[in-house]
Amino acid sequence: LDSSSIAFTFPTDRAAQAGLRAVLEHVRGSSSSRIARRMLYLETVDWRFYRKKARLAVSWEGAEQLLLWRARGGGPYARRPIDRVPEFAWEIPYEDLLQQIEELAGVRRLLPLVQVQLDGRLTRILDGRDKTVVEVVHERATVSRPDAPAAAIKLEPVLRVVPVVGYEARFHELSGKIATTPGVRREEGCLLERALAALALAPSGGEPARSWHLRREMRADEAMKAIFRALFETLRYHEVGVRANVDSLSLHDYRVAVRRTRSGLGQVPGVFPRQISRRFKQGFSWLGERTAMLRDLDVQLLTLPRYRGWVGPPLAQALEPLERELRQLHAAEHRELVAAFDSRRYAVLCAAWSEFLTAPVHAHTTLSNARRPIVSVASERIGRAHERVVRKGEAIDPESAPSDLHQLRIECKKLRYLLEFFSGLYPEQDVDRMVAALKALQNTLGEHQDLTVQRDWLVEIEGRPAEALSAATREAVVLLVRRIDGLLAAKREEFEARFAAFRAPDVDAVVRALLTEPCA
Amino acid sequence: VRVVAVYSIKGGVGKTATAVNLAFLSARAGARTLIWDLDPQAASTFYFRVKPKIDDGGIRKWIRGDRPLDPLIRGTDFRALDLLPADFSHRRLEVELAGLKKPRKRLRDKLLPLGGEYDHVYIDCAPGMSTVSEAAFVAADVLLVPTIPTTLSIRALGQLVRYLRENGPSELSVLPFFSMVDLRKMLHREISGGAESDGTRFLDARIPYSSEVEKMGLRRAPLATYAPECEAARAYEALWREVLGQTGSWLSLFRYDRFGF
Repeated sequence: LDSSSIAFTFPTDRAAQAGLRAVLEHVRGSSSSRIARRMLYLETVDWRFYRKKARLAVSWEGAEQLLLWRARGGGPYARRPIDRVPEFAWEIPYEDLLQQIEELAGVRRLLPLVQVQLDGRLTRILDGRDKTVVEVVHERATVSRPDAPAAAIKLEPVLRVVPVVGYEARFHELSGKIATTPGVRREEGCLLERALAALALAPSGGEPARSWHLRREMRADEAMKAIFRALFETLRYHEVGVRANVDSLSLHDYRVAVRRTRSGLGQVPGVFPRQISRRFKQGFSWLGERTAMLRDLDVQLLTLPRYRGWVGPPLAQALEPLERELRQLHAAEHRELVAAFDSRRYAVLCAAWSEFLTAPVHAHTTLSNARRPIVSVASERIGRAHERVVRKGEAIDPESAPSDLHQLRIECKKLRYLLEFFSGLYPEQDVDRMVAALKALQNTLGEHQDLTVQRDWLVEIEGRPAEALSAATREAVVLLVRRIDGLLAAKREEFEARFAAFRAPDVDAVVRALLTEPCA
Repeated sequence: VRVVAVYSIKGGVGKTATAVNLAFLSARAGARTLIWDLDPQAASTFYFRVKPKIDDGGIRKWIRGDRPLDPLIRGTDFRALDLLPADFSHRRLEVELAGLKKPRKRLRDKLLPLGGEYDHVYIDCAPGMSTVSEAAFVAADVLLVPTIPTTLSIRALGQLVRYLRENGPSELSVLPFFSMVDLRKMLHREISGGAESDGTRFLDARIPYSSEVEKMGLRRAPLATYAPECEAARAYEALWREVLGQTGSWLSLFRYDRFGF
C-alpha cells in the first residue's frame, strides 16, 4: 500500500495554473477547495533531526494543533494532536514518538527553525462516479525565520500530485501530463529543504568535526597541536551557543572542549615548554571554573521535570519557587559568564592560544617528548592513566566518601580523553572495547556525582528557616532527598558491577595489546 | 489493528450506516482505518463511490488462495480511510468458504497481513447467519450489533447472544446498541429505555431514526460530512467514542502528506 506524492515546481503561479489545466483537460470531472496550514519546524541547536533526515514540526490546521514527526530516514509520518509547542522531547505526550525524538535530541532544547504559511487549492480529480482518484494540491508557501517573521519569502509555487490507494495508474498518468508542461521542474526537495534554501539557512555552520588525523610516527608536539587546534575550533563554535543561551548543550560541549584541552596539557607532559603548558593550563582551568556554576544550574533545571514526577501532582506545584530561584540564578550567572567572554583576559587567552597552535614546532628541541613518535608517548600515557583508574577504583569500598568516587571519575575522564585523542593510532575494535567498558563506568560515576550535587542543593534548601519555605515546598524537598538517597545507594551498588566489568580479563587483554602493539 | 464487525441477523437495521459513519469518524480522528464491505449488496462500496475492480473469478480466488488483499483496496475521498469493496460476486463467498479447511479462520488470516497498515478495521457484514458471519466473528475483536427497539429485533439479538455464548470465540466483545430509534413510538420508548437484553448490556448511545441518515444514499457520503450537527450525527459520534473505549486508542503513522511534510 506504499505510495508517495510527486511535486513539480513552477516559476510563477500562472505557470502552475497552466500545469493544472493540462491535467484537467484529460479528466472527466474535478472539484476544488481551499486548504491552509501554518507550520513551525523545530530543530536542535546542532541540527540533529536534519542531519538524520528526520523532521519535527507543529502544525495549525483550522482549530487543530498537531505534532508532525517523520522518523530518521523518512518513511511514514506521525500526526497527533498536541496542547502546546514542546520545548524538550520529554514534553511530547506520546510514548512511541517521545522515544524516537529523544533518541536524537536527548536533552537538547527543541528550537524554532522555520515558520511556514501554506495556502493551497486542493483539486480532486474525479472518475465517472464522482469518486476522487487523484488529488492535486497547488501549494503557495511563504517562509520566514521565527525571529524575523516580517522578512518572509515566497517560495516558487508547487503542484503536488497525491495518489489515492488503488488508483495508481491515474496518478502516474496525470503526473506525466504535468511533467510535460512548459517551465516545470520535478521537485526533489521537501518543503523544509526548499524553505532552508530560500532563507539561506544551512547546518554547514555546525560543530566542527572532532577529528584529527594522526600518523603514529608523527612528532608528539605536532600531533598535540593538531588535537588542540580541533578542540579550539569546537570551543569557539560552542561559545556562540553559550552566549546566545538557547540550549544547555552548548555549554556542556564548550566545557568538554575546555576540559579536554586542559587534560591534554596535563596528561601529555614534555611536549611543550613547561611555562607555556602551565600558562595555558591555568587559563583553561579558569574557564572550567568560570562555567561550572552555570552547568550545575543547567543540570538542576533539566532535572526539575523528573522531580515533579517523583513528588506527584499535588506537590509538583510546590517546586515552582525553587524553579524561579534557579532561573534567576541562571540568568545572573549567564550574564557573568558573557562578561567573562567579553573580558580582556579571555581575549588574550584565545589570541595567545591560537597563535601558539598555528606556530610551527621547533626542529630542534630539548623537551623530553616533543620529538618522540606520538604513538610511543600515547601508549605510555594511556598505560599510566589506566593504572591510576585501576588503583583508585580498587581503593573504593562501601565506606568511601562521595569525593573519592568523584576523584575516580576525574581519572576516568582523563583516560577517556587520551583514548579519544589517540584512537586513530590503534585497532578500532580494541579502542571501542575499552571505551565501552570505561563509558559504562563513567555513566555510573557521572550519575552518582550529579545526584550528589542535587542532594547538596536540596539539603541546603531544607536547612533554610521556616519563613523562607512553604510547608508544601519543604515536604517536596524532603521527599526528593529521600528519593535521591535511594538512588545514590543504587549507584553505589551499580559501581561494583561496572568496575568489575572494566577490570574484566578481556578488557585487560585489550589494554595490554593496545599498549604493546600499536599499529596504524 | 482492532477489528470491529458490524452485524445483525436482521437486515435493514442500519449496519451499513453504522459501519460507514464509524469508520469515517475513526479516520477523521487520525486512526488509519479500513472498511471491509462483506455484503453482496455492496452498500458501503456504493456510499464511497468506489467501483470495485475484482477481475474474473471474483472474490473467490482472493479468499481461497494466498494472494494478499492489498490490490483490492481503494482509497476513499477521506484521509486515512480505505475501503475493501464488495461486488455481486460476494454472494458466492459463503460457498467458497464452506469448501475450505477451517473456514471460520479465513477472514482473520486474510486480515493479518494488513495489521501494520491500519489501526482500525470495520467489517460491514451481510445479514443472516452463515459461515461468512461466523468467520467475521472470529476475525473481530468487537461485534457491534445495531438493534431496532422492536420485539422481533430483541428476539433476534437474544438468539445471537445465545449462539455466541455456545459457539462464538470467547474473546469477542458483543456490543448491541439501539438503532433507528423513533421516540414517537411507545414501543421504541419502552424497549430502548432498558439497558440490558438477555444479560447483554446495551451501549448508551442510541441512533435516532433520521431522514438525514437516509440521505447518505443520495449524498453518497458519511453523515458528518454534510449534516455534522444533526442529532443522528452526534449520536454516531457518541457511539464511536463508546466503541473506542472498547477498541482502545491507536498510534498512527501516515503514508503521505498533502503539503509534502
